Amino acid sequence: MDVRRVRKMIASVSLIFGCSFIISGFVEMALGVGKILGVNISLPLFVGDVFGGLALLAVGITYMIGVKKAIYGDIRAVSYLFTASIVGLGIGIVAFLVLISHGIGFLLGFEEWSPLKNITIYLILGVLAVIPYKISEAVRAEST
Amino acid sequence: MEYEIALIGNPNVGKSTIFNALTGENVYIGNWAGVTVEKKVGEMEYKGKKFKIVDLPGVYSLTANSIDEIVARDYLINENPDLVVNIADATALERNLYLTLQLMEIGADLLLALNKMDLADNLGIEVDVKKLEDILGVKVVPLSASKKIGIEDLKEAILNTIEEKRKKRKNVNAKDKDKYPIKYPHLETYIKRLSSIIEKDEALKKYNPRYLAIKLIENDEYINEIIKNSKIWEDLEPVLKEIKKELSKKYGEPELAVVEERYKIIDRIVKDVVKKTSGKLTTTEMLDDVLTDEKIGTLLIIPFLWMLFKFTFDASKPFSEIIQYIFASLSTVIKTSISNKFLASLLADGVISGVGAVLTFFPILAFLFFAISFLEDSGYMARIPFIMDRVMNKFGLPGKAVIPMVMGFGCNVPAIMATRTIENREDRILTILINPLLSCSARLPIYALFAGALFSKYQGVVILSMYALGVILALLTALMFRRLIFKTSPAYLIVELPQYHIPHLNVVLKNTWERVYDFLKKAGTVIVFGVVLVWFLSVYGPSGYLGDEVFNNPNLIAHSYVAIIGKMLTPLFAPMGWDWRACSALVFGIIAKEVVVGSLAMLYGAGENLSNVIAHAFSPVSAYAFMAFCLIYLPCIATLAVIKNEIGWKWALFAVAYEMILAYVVALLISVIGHFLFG
Repeated sequence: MDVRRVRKMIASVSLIFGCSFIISGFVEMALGVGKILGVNISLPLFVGDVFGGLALLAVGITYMIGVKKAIYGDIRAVSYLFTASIVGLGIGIVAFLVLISHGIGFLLGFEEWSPLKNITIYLILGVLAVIPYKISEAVRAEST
Repeated sequence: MEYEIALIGNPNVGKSTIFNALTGENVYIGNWAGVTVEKKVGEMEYKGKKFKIVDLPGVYSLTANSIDEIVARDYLINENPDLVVNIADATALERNLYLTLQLMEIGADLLLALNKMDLADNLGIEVDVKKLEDILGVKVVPLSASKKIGIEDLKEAILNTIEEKRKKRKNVNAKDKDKYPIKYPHLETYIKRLSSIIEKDEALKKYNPRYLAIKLIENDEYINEIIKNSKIWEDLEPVLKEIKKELSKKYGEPELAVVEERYKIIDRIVKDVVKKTSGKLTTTEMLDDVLTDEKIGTLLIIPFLWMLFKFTFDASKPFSEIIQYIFASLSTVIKTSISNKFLASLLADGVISGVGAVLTFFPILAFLFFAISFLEDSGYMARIPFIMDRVMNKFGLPGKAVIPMVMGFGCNVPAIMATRTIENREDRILTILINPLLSCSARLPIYALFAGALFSKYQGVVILSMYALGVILALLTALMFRRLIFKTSPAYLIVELPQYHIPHLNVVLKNTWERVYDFLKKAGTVIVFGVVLVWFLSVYGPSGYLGDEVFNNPNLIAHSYVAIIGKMLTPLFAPMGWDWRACSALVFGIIAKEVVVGSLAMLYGAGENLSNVIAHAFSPVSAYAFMAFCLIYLPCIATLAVIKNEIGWKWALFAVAYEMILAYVVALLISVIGHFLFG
C-alpha cells in the first residue's frame, strides 16, 4: 500500500465532500432563518430547513476533521471518511423515502407532486456519498 | 441434585445461549426472593451426575448497587454453589475480567467460559487460553455457544473442576492461600492488616477474609453492616480509618484505589494473553473512532435526530391521511345508516371521532418506533449514554440515565422501568422523577395537531422545540433536585458497546410491532373508555340528556357536565387564554395523554376537521402554551402507577406536585412573554 498516495486521496476526497456539505448546510440554514424572518428566497434543491442545514454541517465538519487527520498522517482519517459517508448515505436514504412518500400522497390524491421539485440537496449529497464510502472501503481493504 | 452450578457474566455475553445449551428444556422460571428480577433454574445430567444450573442476572460487577448485582452477590455469598461458571466475551476480555477478579475476591470456586471465540477469530483477536489459565489459576474453556462449539468441553470441565475441588478440600481444611493468585501490589499490606483482624472472629468464618477486607476498603454498605455487628469492630475501626485516610490521600477516594488496582491487573493480563493478528480496521472500530468521540460524536447526534424526525413525520404523512379519510367516511356512513340517534351519536361522535382522531397519528408512531428500533439493532443507540456521560454528569444525572430518557420519547412507562439498570438508588429516583418531562409518543398527537393547525410552515421546528423544552426542563430539574434534595454525585458509568451491524428487518419489525401494539391496545381500551366518558359527560348535563346536537350547537354543550368541569378551571387558566373545552380536555388527559386530542375533537364537535377548528379557537401563543402545559403537567395514570411501584407513594406524589406547579409556571411564562413579544 502506497501510504502517501492513500493519505492524499483521503484528504482530497474528504475536502471535496466536506466543503460540499458545509456550504450546502450554511445555505440551507440561511434560507431557513430567512423564512422565519419573513425573507423568502428560493433556490433549486434547497428547502430552507434549519435543522437539516445543521445536520449537513455536522457531516461536513466530520469530513473536514478527516482532512486534518490525513494531513497529519493519522490512519484514523479513513474512519472519518467512512463514518461521514455512512451518515451522508443515511441522509440520502431518508430523503429518498420522503420523495417516495410524497409520490404515494400524490397517487392517492392527497397532495401535488412533481419529482423534480422533490429532489433536494439531501438526496443529491446522499447519493454522492456512495463515492467516499466506496473509497474508504477500498482503503480499508488495502490496509489488510 | 448432586451439584449446584451458577452461571454469571456481563450482559450480552451469550449467558442465556449457554444456559439453554446446558439445560435443554428443563427450565423453571420465577423471581428471586423479594425482588422482580427473573430467576432461571435448569437441570443438566452429564456422565450420570445431576447438576442444578442457576442463571444469575447479567452484571458488570459485584459492587452491589443495582438490584441485579445485589441478587448475584447475595446468592454467591449465602448459597455457596459448588461451582461458579463465569462467562466472558472473548472479544471484550478487558471489560469482562473485572467481574472475574471480583468473583475471585469473593472466593468462589470458579471456571471461566470464554465465549464468542469465533467472533474473536473473525476480528483477528487471538487469546492465549493456556496463559490465561496460568495467570488466573482457574480452568478456562474456549467456546462459541451460538455455533454450539465447545459445549461438551464445558460440561466436561464443569464435572472435572468440581471433582478436583472436592478432592482438594478433603486434604486442605482451611481455604487454600494459593487460591488467590491475583494480588493487588499497592493494597496487599492493607488487605493483610484487615484480614488478620477479621480472621479472629469465628462468626465471620463463612466469608472469605480477603473479600471482606477489600469490600471494607471499597466502603461496601452491606459488608460494613456485617462487620459493624461483629465482635472485632472495635479493634478494626481505628485500623480501617487509618487505611482509608492514607488511601484518600493517594487516590482521592479509597474505593477508587481498589478500582484502579483491578484495572492495572486486567491491563497486564490482557497485554499478556491477547494478540491482535490482523491489521484490518473493522466497521465497528472505524465508526467508533468517530461516533464515540466526545466532541464529534456529540455533534453527529444532530444528523441522526434529523433523520429520525424527517422519517417519522414526512415519510408517514400519506398513511396518516389515508386513516383520516377512512374514519371520516366511516363516521358519515354510521350517521346516515343508524336510525337510533343516541347510538349513532355515541358511535360517530364518540367512539369513531375520538379514536379516529387519535389513530390518525398511528403511522407517525409506527415510523418513529421503526426508526428507534432500527438504531437500537444497529448498535448506535447503545453508544449514546457513552457519548453523553460527561454532559449528563454536569446535570447531576448518571450516563445511564440517557437510555431511560431516550426511551421516554416512546413511552414513560417502560422508560421508568428501564431505570432498574441504574445501580445507585438516588440516581435512580432522580432519573425517574424527571422522566415524565420527556415527551412520550402519546403527546405527539397533541403537538402534531396544534403545530399543524397554527404553525403549518414551521411544524417540524415547533414540534422539535417541544421535545427540546422537555429535555431542557428535565436537565434543569435534575440539576436542581441533585443540589437541593440528593446532595451527592452521580455514580460511574459502565456500559456494553455491542458491535455495529446492519439491522435485521425481522427484529426491527418485531420491536416496532410490540411498541405500536401497546398504542393500539390503549386506543382500544383506555382511549375508547376516555372518549366515551367525555361523550357521556358532553351529552348529559344537570338537566339530563341534551341530545346529539350538542356537538353542533355551542349553546347546548355549554350546559353539559363537561362544560361545568371546564368552566370551573377556566379562571385558573384565563391568563393563558384557553376556553373551557381546552380545560376539560386537559382533565381527561390524565387518563392518557392521547385522550386530549380525542376530547378536543368531541368538545369542539369537529371530528376530522379538528385542525381548522383549533386554528380559530387558539392563538399561536395560547396554542404553544397549551402544548407546553400538556408536555409537563401530570403524568398519565399508567406512568403514575409505575412511579409508585418503583419508588413509592411519597415520590409519586412529589412528581405530581412539582410537575403541576412547573407546568403552570411555564405555560404562564410563555403566555406573558408571547403576548409581550407578539401582542
